[in-house]
Order: sequence, then C-alpha cells, then structure tokens
Amino acid sequence: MLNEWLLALARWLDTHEWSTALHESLYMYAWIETTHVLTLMVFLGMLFMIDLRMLGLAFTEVPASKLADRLDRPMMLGFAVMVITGFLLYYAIPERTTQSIWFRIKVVLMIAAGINAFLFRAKMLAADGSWDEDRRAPKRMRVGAGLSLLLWAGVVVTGRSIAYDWFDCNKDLSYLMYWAAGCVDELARFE
Amino acid sequence: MDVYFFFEWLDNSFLATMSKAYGGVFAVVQMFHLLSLALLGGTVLLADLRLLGVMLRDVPSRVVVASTQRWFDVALIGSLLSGIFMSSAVALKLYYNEMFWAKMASFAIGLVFVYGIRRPLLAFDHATLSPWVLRLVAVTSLVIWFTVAASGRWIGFS
Amino acid sequence: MSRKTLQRIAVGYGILVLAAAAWFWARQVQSVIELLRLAYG
Repeated sequence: MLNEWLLALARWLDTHEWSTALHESLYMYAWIETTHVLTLMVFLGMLFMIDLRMLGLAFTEVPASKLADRLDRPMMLGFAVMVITGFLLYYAIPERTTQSIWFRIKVVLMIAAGINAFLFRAKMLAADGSWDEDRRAPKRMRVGAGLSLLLWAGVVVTGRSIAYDWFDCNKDLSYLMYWAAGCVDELARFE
Repeated sequence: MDVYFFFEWLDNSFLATMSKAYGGVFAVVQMFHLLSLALLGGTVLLADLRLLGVMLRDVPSRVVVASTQRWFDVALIGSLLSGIFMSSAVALKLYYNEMFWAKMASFAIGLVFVYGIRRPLLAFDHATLSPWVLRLVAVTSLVIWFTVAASGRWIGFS
Repeated sequence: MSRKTLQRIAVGYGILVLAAAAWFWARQVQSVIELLRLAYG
C-alpha cells in the first residue's frame, strides 16, 4: 500500500515540467549534485569533530558542550543545504529514486541518526556540563557518538550507491529485493 | 615531461585489475574517498574560519589548529590512498581529462602550502604574527581545498 | 626559517595562488557561459 502511494507520488512529480528540465539540464543537475557532495565538508565535517571530541580524539582541551554548541550552527546550516539540494536531486529523478533500495536504506539510517542525535542532545543537556572538562565523555555518550559516526557514514555510503544501477527494478532480482525496493509492477508478476 | 607511461603502468597494474573487475570494491573505496573529503574539508573549514575570526572565537586559535592538524593528516592519507585506487580504474581516461590535471595541480599546490608554509608558520605564537598574514593564509587554504574538491567532483562530469 | 621570512613567503605564495585560482575559475565560468549560449542562443 505504502509502495503504491509513494510510486504514485513519484510519478506525479515526474510529470512536472521542472523535474524533467532539471534532469535534462546541461549544468543545473551537476551543480546541485556537486553542492550536495561538497556540503558534506560543512555538515559531516562539523559532526565528525563533535563526535571525535566526545570520544576524546580531538579538541580535548575544549569543554565538550562548548564545542558542540559552537559547531552546532554551521553544522545545521550545512544540513539545511544538504536537505534542500537532496530534495532537488530527488525531484529531478523521482521514480527511480523512490524504487532505489539504497535510497530507502539511506532514509531509514537518517531517521535512526536523527533519533540518536535527539537522545544525545537531551542527555548532554541533562548532564548540565558535569563531564564537560573530561578528556572523554562518559561511556553512554561515547556509544552515542560512535553510533552517530557509523550511521552518518552509512548515509554517505548508501547515498553514493543510489547512482549505481545494480539493484534497479528493471534488473532480474529476487522477490525479497523487489519487495525491499518497492518494485510494485515487478512484484505483481509474482502473484 | 610526459607522464603517460605512468598511467599506462597504472592501467596494467594489479590495482587496475581489481578496480575494474569488481564494481563493488570500487564503490566501497569511493565511499572512503567521500568520507575523507568530509573530514578533510571539516578540519580545513574549522581552522581557517577560526583564523578569520568567524568561528570558535572563544577558543585559542592555537588549540583549534593543533586539534585539526592531526585529523587533516588522517583525511589526507585516506583520500590519497582511495584516490590512487580509483584512478587506476580509469587511468588512461584520466590522462586526457583536463579537470583531473586541474585537481592534481591544485592538490600539489596545497601540499606545498600546508607542509611547507602554513604549518611552520602557525607553529609560531599566533599573537606574534601579522593578523593580515594569518587572514591571507586562511583564505588561501580555503580556496586551494575548495578547488581540489570541486574540480575533483567535476572529473566525473567532464 | 625566521618568522619574518616565512611570513613573506606566505604572502607571496598566497597572492600567487589566489591569482591562479581566480584565473582558473574565471575560465571555467567563461566556458560554461559559452556552452549555454551555444545551447540556448
């Protein structure tokens, strides 16, 4: 049901003139894609430094919450740019992206990373700087920081993989893969 | 000086056999390249924006520079190793790609700058250096690494 | 190297790099404009 609904949405977006124009543009798509990738340096770069601080591997002389606070704004700015350019990239090629197994894993990983970040922030605020001067954050926080690094690395990996056509719906895949990628038409053939 | 022979050699090397035969391996290596890019760009941004007085103004610039240097080195090694592997898959094509040479040139300029000028200079007490020199160093660094990253991404499009 | 010499080298190198980068990027922008003109008139 969800797959049909998502596909219908993608097909509707695909009828938009702007979507086609973007996809077939000489430069626009490549520029947006480049901006998306280069902004990794802002968003992920800041995130890496914060997480490495929690793990005691960088900026150990700076109080943890101070670093997290100062890097928060540039990080979120980078994130905003990535969301906007990311949406445009989806908008340019909606149908194939909707049925991309990589895109689906990426969205799940991002939701997980978001929940992790939310819990991390809540715990850090609750601690009210009690471990701020420590070289390393408490163990629970370190787990959160490590998880954050892993999840976002996973987002980059799956994001890059969207470009590869290994598991596209038009390929000969197993039922499980069709199901996971939401290949509605191909699944119908199994019934 | 013609370096075509190097690309020919790379194209015939063990690395090329692997990177061409296994698309999956190539993809994984490329992801390491991307993660290194994020780390490298992050450290460059932090240190240079601190020198420009944009970010982390209440943390001594010496601390910011010292903390980012180590991870810059890690990112550099990561992107270099993954980059060589990626090059081996399309070595002969790269030789004729203008953007590839733009990237290599700016990369070489960046290496000389970082290890020959920026680091030795920033090893001095920052307070004793001219603020305008520090600003120029920061802007130069930002421009170099942006050019490396952007021309690098454009190799694939050109 | 003395602090003074190093600062001078940094300034010289920096100016050269910025000039080269300006030339490089101006050339890229120019080629983009040319192609867009060719495509859309």
